[in-house]
Amino acid sequence: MSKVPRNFKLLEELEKGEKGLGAESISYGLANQDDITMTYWNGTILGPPHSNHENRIYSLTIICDETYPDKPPKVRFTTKINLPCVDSEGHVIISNFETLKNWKRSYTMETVLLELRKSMALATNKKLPQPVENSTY
Amino acid sequence: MATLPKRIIKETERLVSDPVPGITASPSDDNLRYFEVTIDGPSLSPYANGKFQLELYLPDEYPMCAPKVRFLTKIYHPNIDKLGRICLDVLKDNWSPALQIRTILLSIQALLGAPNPDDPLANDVAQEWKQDEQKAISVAKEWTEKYAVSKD
Amino acid sequence: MSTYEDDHNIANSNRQSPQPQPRSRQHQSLSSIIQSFLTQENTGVVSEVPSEEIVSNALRMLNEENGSEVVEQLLSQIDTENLDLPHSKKIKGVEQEFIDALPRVDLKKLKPDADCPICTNKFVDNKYPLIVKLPCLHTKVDHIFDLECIGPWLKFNSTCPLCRFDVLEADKFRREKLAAELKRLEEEDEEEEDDDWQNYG
Repeated sequence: MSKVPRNFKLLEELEKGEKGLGAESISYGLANQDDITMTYWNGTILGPPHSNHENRIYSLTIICDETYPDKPPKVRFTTKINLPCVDSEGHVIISNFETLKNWKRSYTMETVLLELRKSMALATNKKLPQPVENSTY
Repeated sequence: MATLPKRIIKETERLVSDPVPGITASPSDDNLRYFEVTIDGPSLSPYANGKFQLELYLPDEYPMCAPKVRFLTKIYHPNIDKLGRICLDVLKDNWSPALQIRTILLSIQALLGAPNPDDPLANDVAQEWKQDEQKAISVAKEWTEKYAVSKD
Repeated sequence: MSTYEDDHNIANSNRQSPQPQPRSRQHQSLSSIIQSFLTQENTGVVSEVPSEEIVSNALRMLNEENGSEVVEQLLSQIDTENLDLPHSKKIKGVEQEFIDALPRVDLKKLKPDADCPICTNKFVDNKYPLIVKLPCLHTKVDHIFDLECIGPWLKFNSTCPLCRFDVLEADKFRREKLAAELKRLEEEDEEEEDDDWQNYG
């Protein structure tokens, strides 16, 4: 497989997100519709069932800079959340989150959002006390 | 890295040694399937005097599927959206493996000379184009002047 | 306002459903989903949703509840296989038999500088050339290709790369002509028989 250049990979991801072809429990799109550099993105995660996150919707910002996808994107929750891999300002801590720590070029923003959702549902995390619903950083 | 198919090598050589007038395409140093492209706006169009930058990528399946192409220079055109994506049949369902990089780039240049607001990608632009063509053409000229004409 | 579909309590197949699936469907078991998918295919009901999507959605629904590695693996497999389809649209290619039956072209009958429009290599440069001709109508020049180049294309597209002629049309046209010819012969036979009877009468 040859290396898909950054812009064309992001275009593929955008199209998948626009057409709603991916998983239903997450969504993502460009923060600014005419950002020709495709750097700033918004994402949402629907809290997994049977956890303290059930029925909550979490908003995130994702930054795919020039180094993406060779390097992982910078991910930050804007909705307050209590998770071991998220710091006090909502930033996802790379060293605490496997997907970003062992980043592969084939991963996508969808991978990141789905894995974050999975970590919310982990036995050790799902009953963690959570901030007031819809509060933001 | 996997070896480059002979066809791509031949196409690249010819693009450099025998370029199409008004079009340049050169492969990137670290990815020979990724090209930096420039297309001159056709002289009798609102894009005249503009030099538009594009990027082109040949996926693994090429030539069984079309190259991926996008404008990097902002352009006001009913078939090109805000992100530079192009609505052109030969890039989608009408691709044929007998087409080449040069024929695709010529088709894009032709699209600049013949905007088609009835088959739009950029809906707002197409709308404006249909409502008041003269005004749309003057906006296209303005954008060309602003974004696609080098100032030196 | 209620529609025909609403009145009759049937789903409108044309309607897009971007809304999330109702929760209750998450509890449907995989086997029942697969079962309904299979019966649907057997009854010949044409679904607008590609079958891969139905299965992958079903798997996703299951994964919502308690994700397992196997389900995940299946999902990623479906995803990659889907991406491999050109433009991930419905496949509209020809059968392998059609490709195998394409008329061969003798290299000696071609101009020495003739090349394959797909790989752009000269036919003479190929050590073991296998050259075929497409059955395009309305063309004076034959549209010829390396078999190894045109084969993969025809698997997903039934059009000639040079003139976009639908090669399946040629096949249909040939069959129809053949059928018409057969019918004509049969009718001729019958007429002769009729004539015979008349003679006897």
